[in-house]
Amino acid sequence: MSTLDISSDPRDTGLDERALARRLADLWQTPRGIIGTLSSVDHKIIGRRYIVTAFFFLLLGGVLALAIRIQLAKPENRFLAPDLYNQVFTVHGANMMFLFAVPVMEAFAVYLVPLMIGTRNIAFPRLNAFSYWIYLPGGITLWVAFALDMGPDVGWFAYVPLSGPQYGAGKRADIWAQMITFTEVSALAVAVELVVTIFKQRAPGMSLDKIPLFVWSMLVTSFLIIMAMPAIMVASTTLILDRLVGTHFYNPAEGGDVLLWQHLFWFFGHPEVYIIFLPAVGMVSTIVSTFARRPIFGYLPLVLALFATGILAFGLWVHHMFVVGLPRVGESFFTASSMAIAVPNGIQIFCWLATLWDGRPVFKTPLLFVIAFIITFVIGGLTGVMVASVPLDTQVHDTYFVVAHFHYVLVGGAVFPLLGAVYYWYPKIIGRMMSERLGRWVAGLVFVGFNLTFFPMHILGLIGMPRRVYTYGPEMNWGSINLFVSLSAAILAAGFLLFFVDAIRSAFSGEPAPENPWNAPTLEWATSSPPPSYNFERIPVVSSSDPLWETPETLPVATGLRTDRRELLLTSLSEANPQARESSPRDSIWPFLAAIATTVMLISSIFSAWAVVWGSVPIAVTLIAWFWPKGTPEDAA
Amino acid sequence: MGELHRHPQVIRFAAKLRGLTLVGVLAASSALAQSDPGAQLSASTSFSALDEIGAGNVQRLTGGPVFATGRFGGQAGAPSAAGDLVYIETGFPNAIFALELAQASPSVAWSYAPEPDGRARGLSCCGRTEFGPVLSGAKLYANTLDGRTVALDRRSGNKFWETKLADLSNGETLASPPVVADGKVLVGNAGDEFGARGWIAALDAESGRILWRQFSTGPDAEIGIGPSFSPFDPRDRGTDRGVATWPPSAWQHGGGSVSGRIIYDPELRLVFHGTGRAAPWDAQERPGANRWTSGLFARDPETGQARWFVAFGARDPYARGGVAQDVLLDAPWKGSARKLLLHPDGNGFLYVVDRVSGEMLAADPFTHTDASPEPAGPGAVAGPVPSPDENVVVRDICPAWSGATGAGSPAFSPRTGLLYLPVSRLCMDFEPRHASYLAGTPFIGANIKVKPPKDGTSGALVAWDVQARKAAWSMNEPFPLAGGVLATAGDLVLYGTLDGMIKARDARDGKLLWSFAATDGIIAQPATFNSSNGHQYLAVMTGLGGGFGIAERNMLDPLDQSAGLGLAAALSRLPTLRERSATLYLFRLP
Amino acid sequence: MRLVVVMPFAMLALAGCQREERSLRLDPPVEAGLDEVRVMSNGIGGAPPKVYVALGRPYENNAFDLDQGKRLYDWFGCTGCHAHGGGNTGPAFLDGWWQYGADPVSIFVSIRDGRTAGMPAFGRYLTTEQIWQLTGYVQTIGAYSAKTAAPSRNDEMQSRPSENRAPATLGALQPPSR
Repeated sequence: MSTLDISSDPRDTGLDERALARRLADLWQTPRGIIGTLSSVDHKIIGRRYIVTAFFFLLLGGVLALAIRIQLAKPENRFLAPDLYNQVFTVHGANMMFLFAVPVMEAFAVYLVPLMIGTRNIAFPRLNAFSYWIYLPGGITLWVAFALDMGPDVGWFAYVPLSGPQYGAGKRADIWAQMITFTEVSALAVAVELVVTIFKQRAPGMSLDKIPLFVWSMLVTSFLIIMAMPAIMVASTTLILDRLVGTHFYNPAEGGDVLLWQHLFWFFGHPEVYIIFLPAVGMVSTIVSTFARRPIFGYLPLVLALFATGILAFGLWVHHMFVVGLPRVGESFFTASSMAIAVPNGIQIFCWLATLWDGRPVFKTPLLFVIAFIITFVIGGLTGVMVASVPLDTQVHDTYFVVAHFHYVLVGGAVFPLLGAVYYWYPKIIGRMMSERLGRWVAGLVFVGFNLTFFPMHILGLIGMPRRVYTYGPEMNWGSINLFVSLSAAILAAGFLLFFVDAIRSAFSGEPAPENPWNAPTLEWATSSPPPSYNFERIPVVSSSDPLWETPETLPVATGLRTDRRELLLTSLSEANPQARESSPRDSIWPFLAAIATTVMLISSIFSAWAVVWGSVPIAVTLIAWFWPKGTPEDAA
Repeated sequence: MGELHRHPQVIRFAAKLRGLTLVGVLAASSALAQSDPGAQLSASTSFSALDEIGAGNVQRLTGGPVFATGRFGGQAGAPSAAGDLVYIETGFPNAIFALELAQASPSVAWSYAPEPDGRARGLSCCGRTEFGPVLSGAKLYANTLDGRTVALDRRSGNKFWETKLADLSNGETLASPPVVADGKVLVGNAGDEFGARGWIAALDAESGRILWRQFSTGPDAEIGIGPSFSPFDPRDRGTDRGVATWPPSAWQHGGGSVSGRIIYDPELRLVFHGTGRAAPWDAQERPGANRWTSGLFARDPETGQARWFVAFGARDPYARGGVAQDVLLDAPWKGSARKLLLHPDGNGFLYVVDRVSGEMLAADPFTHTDASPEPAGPGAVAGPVPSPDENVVVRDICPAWSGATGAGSPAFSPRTGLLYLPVSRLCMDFEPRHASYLAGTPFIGANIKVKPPKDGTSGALVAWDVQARKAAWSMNEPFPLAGGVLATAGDLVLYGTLDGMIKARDARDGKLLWSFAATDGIIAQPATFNSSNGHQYLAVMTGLGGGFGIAERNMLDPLDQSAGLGLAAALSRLPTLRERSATLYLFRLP
Repeated sequence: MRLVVVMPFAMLALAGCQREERSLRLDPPVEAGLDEVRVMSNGIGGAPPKVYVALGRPYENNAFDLDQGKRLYDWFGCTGCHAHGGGNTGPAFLDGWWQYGADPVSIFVSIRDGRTAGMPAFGRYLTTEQIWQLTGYVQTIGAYSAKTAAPSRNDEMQSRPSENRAPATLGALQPPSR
């Protein structure tokens, strides 16, 4: 730790800007070196790591998707053997859902939420560091296992009994289950941090009606995570217990229940879709408002729509299980609730269109992605209403129709906004602009490639092609459409490749970005690009939901925080009135070590139940060291 | 009541041997029957008219082990005595010993050791297993587990003939003694656990030539169903019910083996035999009534033609079979004298059947049972019988597959009018599983755990009042009663237990009068006879084996609760017994 | 430093590499070669086929093969005589006491050719590969130490601890007590 000059007044009130910046930099900066890197608790560093890691997993998952398309390009193809194919589609799905989609949304929130609400760091920063260090080995576990021919092969939802002890030979399903445990621990940690950050650390004056929509969306998402993820952790833990210890949670002969798995999984799995989609709603709202050059139309309906989606998300998981043989009343109820979710989504679409209609839109790359999103997502939503009805779902269940549907809502509904978000926030995060020219190409290729790839899958599904088959006979007459799909996938892949090229190239040779290149209204644009380690020299005070548009040059600030220890300003829940100064923990290596200990325990527990007992000892040691007072000023209350 | 009963198998030799002082337990009653011309003839009741040992002096019995066969375990046959010789047939490989009892320690007059086919060891399964030589004239007939019937010279042990009857490669064995009826030797097969089709065959007593063979499943012609056949259940009057009540071709490996004792009634000139459980035990794989398994046939011994058939518990979804031993009785029934057949079934019901017409007169539970007695009575038409779904565990079904009774023979005492039933009170958890038929390999299709009832007493001796149709008294036993019961004119009920106790109870009230601890478990029926010195002897063979003793005999691991089809774990509290050789115990009054 | 995280997984996984392989169809020459066990004249023990050794004794520690073996154990009625390892008319496996030797060749020959004490010959029903899979599984039931590649419980009524939890109850040289 660098020494601090604390001879003078510890408060920042009397300091001039340069002295303040120097002191804050000394205080908040992550030290250099390997230890320093591993010890960092800066939400921006961790968020950046998260984003890069998640996009790396996207790249890997995309390669698998291409392998699937090559295999299916012609009948009776021998590019992938059946066993490998099972692993490929499982790892593709699990990777995209658990290692890419959820983490990348949380990663953006980890990076952006503290900036957007005007605070210096996320709440529980060490837990934040821990969450990344537990997410990374989860991903590595899955991919190393796949590379060594022991990747999961039971589908991304790993239905029992296929994944259970009788049919799931070897450790493949255990790898899947433990990967779930890793990523869910990490997601839960981030969700808790975000809720606390959003509730207690907003800039003075940022009352509930002035919170940026992206922050609102992450708040709802975080609550969804907190309520949905325990179900899947119970599911994956009981699955491992069944497989390793021989318990009978999913063995009907001994009083277990196979359907229990599906209920537990989809009670998580359906909210999971909204965990991915709601952040995208926030991103879209932010981008639309900025590029339409007007405040978002229908702020309140949009917020309420977020809540409505979040609540409804827990009432329609059963529509994934229509073919298991449910009571008629149950089917009707879940059909109705599934269709009801179209209402808040319709409100959102309407508000965005109204914003664009009424504004003076500037068609930069981020907005292009948003337009691609709206078109694609509406198509996906329409097929969603179709499969919400039991008769149609019974017909197309487990066919490529469903594959097409969920790629429309997931890629169309989340990845397109995400790419837009990358183009939008890249200057803030990296400090350089991405290429507008390449960006338009990316948007065009991805949009055209995506629709050419996935739209024909609706037809494939309707003419009977089932999911998860490694090949099909020539007499099925699916060959020509599949070939078309595979060729289109090449276009989609080219679009993504171009995106990665642009992102990497711009990091080195992009045009330097100003503080606020898009003339955006939210607080993250009120600091330099990229932001300093302490985010803001002084905590901003807001009086509007678009503070940078209301008072572009003279943003009021609050003073009085100490400069001899890391301090945050806590504000009240609804009005965001200042309440207290609160210390924020310093860097620590122990979250990293605790994550290592947890990793060792979780991986070993695939092989022996005793690993849980003995593995908890090092975890306890690292946790004790983590929380042991180190005598820093932050220890004082 | 009060009439005397005798075993018809031994009528002729008993008549010839009158005057000899050494007669077998069954022969003993015959001899008395001969001496009392007014006695009615009836079939096996396991009652001995000897009364020297009685309730008053049984406490003074002395004796102990006198002859070790050197064969390990599985002694299910009682000794037979005739003349001055006592005959013992051991468990597989079924050696036969003839012992002279002249001295305190008996000497071997001759012995016969067949060349065994070792494959039979793996086919000895699950059901009732009993071996014992049958004496008729100068010959001794015996069955061997590996599928042969042999006729030996009673005096010298020389072999007259040997006929191979059971096909081991199809899983067939012989597991019960033959029966001699009118110059024919009747033999039934075992092996329904392997999907073997049940049959009963008749051999010429002189030459061993096969005269006829009738099956338990299949077309009428192979079953011996002709114009003279009149089944109790009117639905069974169609043609080829043994085919039509099965899924296509399933009757070809449908079980129904004749592994219980066959009983001959010389007066009616009929043989009665039960048919075993249908194969596989998973009833879902054999929808239909599965004729003619788990029931009772009456046949003409001349031709094997069936006269009548009654079924005990349709479809037999819990595999209890119908081969428990019957008792023939001539007794008044509802005011008129009837020729009755009492069938205590494995499902826990005592069926009373008119053995002339095959009419079922009553079905009463003699122990706790969840079974339905279906068909419930005359004229009753049963609906579809529910049977457990595949892969669904049905818990706490009583009695277990091994049956409420059936492993050992019951006894009837005309002096008390009571039927003494050796009862197993075991219950089970039963999970039908898909089974595929492969000839010569097990065709069971069930996961089974067997367990004692809540009170921990797995067995009982039930004294059943035939006229009152209720139990007169019942004595619980720690282990199932696997061996038969012997009733004597001394008003004793004698039996051995799995943990090696030989017990004598008062026939009237069940009071334990005497017991003796042997060094090995007992699954054989006790026998009694008069020796050359004119005194009554009690003879008991020890040697744990059979279904209940399988854990001991095959060194099963009770860690697996399904070992021995559940019996290993259920009986894991059986004491480990030191003696590894089947041994003859003799007792007499001092 | 990240290597420190990765390495243990990598090594663990490498160790499990062959364990998780799944060969769905054997080459006919390999399958033919796998049938060539050389048995001692008393039918107990002998040398495994050269192919078997060359393949790295696959059927003893490959999770998929062991699992297939377990399935065959159920499908071909092994439970009828041997229960779930506790035995019935056939001997118990769970106790780790082998009448014809604990080595895979003896077990293979027992299954393929049968034994005179009542074990039927399954060579006419099973392919050579299936017999080897069954051999590996049967050996697992009576193994003296638990294998991590062993399958776990079936979705059926449970009558004993799962294979991967329950090594043999006896030592190699200790005869059964009952």
